[in-house]
Amino acid sequence: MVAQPVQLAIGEEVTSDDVEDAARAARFRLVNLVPAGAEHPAQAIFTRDAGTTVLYFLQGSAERRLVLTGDGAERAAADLRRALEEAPRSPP
Amino acid sequence: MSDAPLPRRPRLVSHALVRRHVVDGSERVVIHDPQSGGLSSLEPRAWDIARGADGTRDLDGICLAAARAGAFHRRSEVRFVLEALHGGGLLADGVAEPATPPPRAGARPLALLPGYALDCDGSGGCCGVYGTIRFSRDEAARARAVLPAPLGSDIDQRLFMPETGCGADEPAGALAVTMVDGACAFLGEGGACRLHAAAGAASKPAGCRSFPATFVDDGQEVRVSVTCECACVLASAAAPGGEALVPADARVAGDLPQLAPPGVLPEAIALGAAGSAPRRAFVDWGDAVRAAVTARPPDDVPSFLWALADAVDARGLALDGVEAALTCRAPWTPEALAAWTSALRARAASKVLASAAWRSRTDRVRRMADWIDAAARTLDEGTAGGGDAASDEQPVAGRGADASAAAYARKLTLALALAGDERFYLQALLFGHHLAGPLPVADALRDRALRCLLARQVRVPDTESERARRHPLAAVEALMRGQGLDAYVTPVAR
Repeated sequence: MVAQPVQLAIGEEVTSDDVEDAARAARFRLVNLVPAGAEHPAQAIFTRDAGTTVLYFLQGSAERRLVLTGDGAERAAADLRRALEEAPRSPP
Repeated sequence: MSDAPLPRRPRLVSHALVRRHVVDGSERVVIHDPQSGGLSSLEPRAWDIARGADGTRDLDGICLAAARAGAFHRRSEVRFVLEALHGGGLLADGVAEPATPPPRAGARPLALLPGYALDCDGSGGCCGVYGTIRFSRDEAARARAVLPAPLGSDIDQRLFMPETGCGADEPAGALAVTMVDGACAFLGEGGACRLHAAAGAASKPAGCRSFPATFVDDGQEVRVSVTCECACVLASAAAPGGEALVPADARVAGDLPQLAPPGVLPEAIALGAAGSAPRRAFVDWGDAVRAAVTARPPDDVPSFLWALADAVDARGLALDGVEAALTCRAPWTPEALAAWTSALRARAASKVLASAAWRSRTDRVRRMADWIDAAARTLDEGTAGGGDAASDEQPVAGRGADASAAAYARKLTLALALAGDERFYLQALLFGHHLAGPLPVADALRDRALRCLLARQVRVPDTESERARRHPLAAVEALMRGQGLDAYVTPVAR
C-alpha cells in the first residue's frame, strides 16, 4: 500500500527562512532546487530517512505549500508542524 | 568594495588565500587578500558554503553544494555569505582561465651562494611564521599516510585547503596545511617536525626541505641564494659547518625535480626613474656590486642601499656610484625617509590590529608583529622628530644607558651581529637577484634599507631564543614576505 502525500498549508507570515529552519529541525536535508516551469512552481526538495521521505516546498505566485511523500510522510509532517510552531520567526 | 550585483556564477578569486587555523583550540577559516591586504575571518560552516563558489554554479547550485557538505541552513544565508565576499572584492564571475605553468629550467646549471651552509637549530622557528605551508597533492597524501591524525580531532579530515582560491581553477594544484596557533599542524613539541621524525626528511614537503633556499633563473644559471627569514639563516653565515642548500650531487635545476619551478628574471628589469634595463645588464650590475661589497664591505649597509638607490635613479646601472655609496652615511633627506618610515609604521600598526583580532597570544606571528610595530614607531618617531634614529652609530637594541657591564657587552655583541647580518643580507640579496621583483630596483633598494633600519630598532624579548634575540632582521624579513608587511611600500614606491 502506497502512503498518501500529506499537504501542509503555510501562512503568509511564514518565510522561506522559517521553512528551511523547520526542515532542518525536522532532520530534512536539501537535495534539489527546481526553478519555476510552465507547469510547476519553484520547488525546494528535501529528504530524510535515507531518502525515503521527501518534502517539497512549493513556492508559486498563487500557492505556497509543503507536500510530503513517502513512508514517513505522516510522522515527518508532524515534526514539521511542531518545528514551524515552536521555532521563532526569522527576523524580517 | 563592490556595489555590483552578485556574479551569476560566483567564483572566489584566484589570488584569495584561504587558510584553516586552529586558534586556542577553536577552528576558523581566514581569507587573506594579498592584493588589498584585506583579511576576513569565517566560521568553518561559512567556508563550506563559500567553497561551492567555483565559477560553475549559480546561487541554487551553491546552496546544493553546501547541502551536500552538510553546511546548508538557509538560502538567504548562502546569499549573505556570497554578498559579503563580493563586497570584499573576493568574487569573480565564471570559471578562471587555466594558469600557464612556468617553464622548467631543467638544464640550467645551479649557482650556489658562495661559502654558505645552513646551521639549523631545529627549534621550528620557521614553521610558525608563514601564512602558508605548501604541500603538493602527493606530499599531502604521503603526510596523511605517515600521520593520519596529527591534531587528534575531526579537523584532521579537512587538514588541507587549496593553496589559492577555492581550488577550482587548479584542481591538481597545491594545498596549504592547517595552522595551529600560527604554526604548521605537523610541528611537534620542542620544534621538531613530526613528519620528519616519523618517516625522515623525504616525507616533508619540498618547500620545507629546500628552505631557506631561493631559486631564480636569470637566463644563464639558476641562482640559489637564501631568504633571511629565519634567525638560523643569519646565524649560519658566521657559523662553521652546516648543511648545503642543495644535495651535493645536484648540478642543474633538473636535478631537483621535486621543487616548484624557479622564479624567472624578466627580460626587462624596471629600475625606477632611469627606466629599465635588459636582464643581462642587471645580472652583470648585481655581480659587480657584489664584488665591490665583498672587497670592501660598506660602512653602513642601509646607507649604502639608499645611496645605491639614488645612483640607480640618477644613472641607471652605471657603476660609478657604487664606490661613493660604500662610505656614505645617512644619504637620505629627512622628508624622503619620513615618507617611508611613516608608511611602514602604518602598515605595522595595522598588522598588529589584524593579528590581535584573531590570532592566539601564543602565536609567534602575533608576538613578532608586536615587536615590529614597536620598532616601526621608534624608527618613525626618530625620523619625524628630527632625531637620527636611522643613522645610529650602533644598533639601538635597548635605548637609554645600560648600567651593567654585562648589558653593555651584550649590546655590543648584538651590534656586531647586526652589522654582520646586514652585510650577509646584502650578499644574499645581490647573489639571489632578490632586488628584481614587483618594485623597481631603486625602490627595492630603499625598501631593503628600511628593513635594516627597522631591524636595528627591534627589541626581541628575553623570553625568545638566543638566536631570535641576536638576529632581529630575521623577524623583519619573515613578517615582510611571510605576512604581507611588505605591502607598506605601496603608498611610497613608484
